[in-house]
Amino acid sequence: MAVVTKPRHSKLTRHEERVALLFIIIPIIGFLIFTLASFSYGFYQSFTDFNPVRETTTWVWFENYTDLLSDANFRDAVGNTIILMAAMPIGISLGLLLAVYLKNLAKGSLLLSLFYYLPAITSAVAVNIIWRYIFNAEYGFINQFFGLNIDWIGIDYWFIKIALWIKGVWSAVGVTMILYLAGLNNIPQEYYEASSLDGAGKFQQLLHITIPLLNPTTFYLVVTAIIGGLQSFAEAQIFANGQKGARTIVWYIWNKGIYQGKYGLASAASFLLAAVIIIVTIIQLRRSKMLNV
Amino acid sequence: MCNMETTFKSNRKVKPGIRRTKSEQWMFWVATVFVILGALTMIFPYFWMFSTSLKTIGEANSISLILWPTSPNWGVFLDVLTDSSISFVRSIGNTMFVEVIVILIGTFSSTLAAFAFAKMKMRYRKTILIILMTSMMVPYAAVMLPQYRAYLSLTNILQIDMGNPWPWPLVPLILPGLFGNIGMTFFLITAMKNSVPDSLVESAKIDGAGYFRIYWQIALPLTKPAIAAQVIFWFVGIWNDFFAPSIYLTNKAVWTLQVALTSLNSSYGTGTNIPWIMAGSFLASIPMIIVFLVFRNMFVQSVSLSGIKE
Repeated sequence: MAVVTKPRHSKLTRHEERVALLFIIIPIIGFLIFTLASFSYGFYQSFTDFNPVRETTTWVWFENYTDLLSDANFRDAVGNTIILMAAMPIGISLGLLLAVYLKNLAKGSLLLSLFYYLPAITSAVAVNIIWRYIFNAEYGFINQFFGLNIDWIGIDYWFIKIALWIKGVWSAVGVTMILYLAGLNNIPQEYYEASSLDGAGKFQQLLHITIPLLNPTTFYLVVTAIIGGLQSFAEAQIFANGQKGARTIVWYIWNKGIYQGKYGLASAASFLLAAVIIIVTIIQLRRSKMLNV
Repeated sequence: MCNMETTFKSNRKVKPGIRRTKSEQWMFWVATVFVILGALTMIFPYFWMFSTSLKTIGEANSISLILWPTSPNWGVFLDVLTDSSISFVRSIGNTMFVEVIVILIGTFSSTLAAFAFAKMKMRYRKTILIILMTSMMVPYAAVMLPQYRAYLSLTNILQIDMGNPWPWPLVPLILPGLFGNIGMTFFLITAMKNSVPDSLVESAKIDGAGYFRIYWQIALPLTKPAIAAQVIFWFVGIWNDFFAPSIYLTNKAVWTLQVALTSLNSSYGTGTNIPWIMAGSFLASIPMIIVFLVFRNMFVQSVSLSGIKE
């Protein structure tokens, strides 16, 4: 790897370029196998039908896509996934208020922020297991403490979603708070000083300085929450144990593809999901300066 | 319960900021009450998990509310760890097996690429980087099925004994990580640009150092804190990973911790032993909570970076 320094510049640059290419070849190979080839094969697969008995693959054009759109289970999964994301504005607003509060706190903010951040480092499995028992109909804490008799994780369409909203807000508030705290540190203190000289109260400052200046963070949080929400799986699998009212798109893909071996249908669903996520990500990237590396 | 007490203690130290109007001060205290109630809500599930672990099966299934068991069963954690039907210790071993290999080799791949992108001249640098970054927007669900099918046919071709498969099913979890983590590379490009001065690279070149030595002896030590932050983030991610492991790890011999926990929950083997399920969840969560408490600042740094990059 040792370089012999030579006077000719172009040769040196060419050598540098070749070494650089060698240094990035590992991620490139990884990309080719685990992203490009995998994704392309999945896309191809979505136009085929696999017969597990004969182990034959036949080209079926758009049959999987039409089957998918006429499948009530798929439409339910899309509906559930979207409805479950409805808790997002609550989580983001609470995270913002919490960050504003903690920013103004002289002491004690560290411990409080630790508590709020705990769910972010706890596994989805453990979190969903704990909440599953908290929402249990007979011996769950929620029903016992509030004297309710609700079958949260039962067949009811809305109770299971309310339960998952509560769990979702609980899970999201910490990360939101940390990101907003970072955003708040970037707002110059002079803005607040100037506005209080003009007689603006705390609430007006929040409305006219803090929230507008935190727009990029909010936008980032909304986009990542949408991308994450579209891919939720552990909620359906562990919290709801496959209960109908909580089956999400990824659960549908997993169930059709891995569990039932209907690769074509599952691939069609995963391609549609990927298309939506890619579009959302491109919107995000175009708005941010992320690509100025 | 000691956690709750410290919250209140810390709250006593709270001093309202300077020059607040009466109504602002009033609002501050209302907000304080809400924030503390919120903090209690945040830690309550952890307390409930802990206290339920210590209950008897009867107490855990009780229709009346029991906040704390009459005679806590402290031995439950050791029972769960040593029970052969869950093989918790073994699954921790498997998790660490994946962690060590992926992080050692994956960090090498990621940092080497970050160095090349940050400090070396190459044509189409930005185009290559953007193409690599598109992998971050493709959801796992969209690449999962082809990879799973490739894995199934490879196990057929190689005639893997699925009765005793270790470590074969762990390979599809390890392999992608060896090629690096593009998110890590992306953040380290900025770190290397900022903390590795060009002049230092140039003078090393004049002294006859090759690019690999510059990477190894200059760039790596100078970006250690940023690398460490990313490594810890990745470590926690692998530890908590569940979707891909749940697909590949159907045999108990290769379970990672999260898969063992899932099986424990779906009443596999142990029935509906809620204290055990809670004790298992507790044991699986505690190491990451400790990691977080020790490396708190690095966490905040990694999370914040993703937002600030906006």
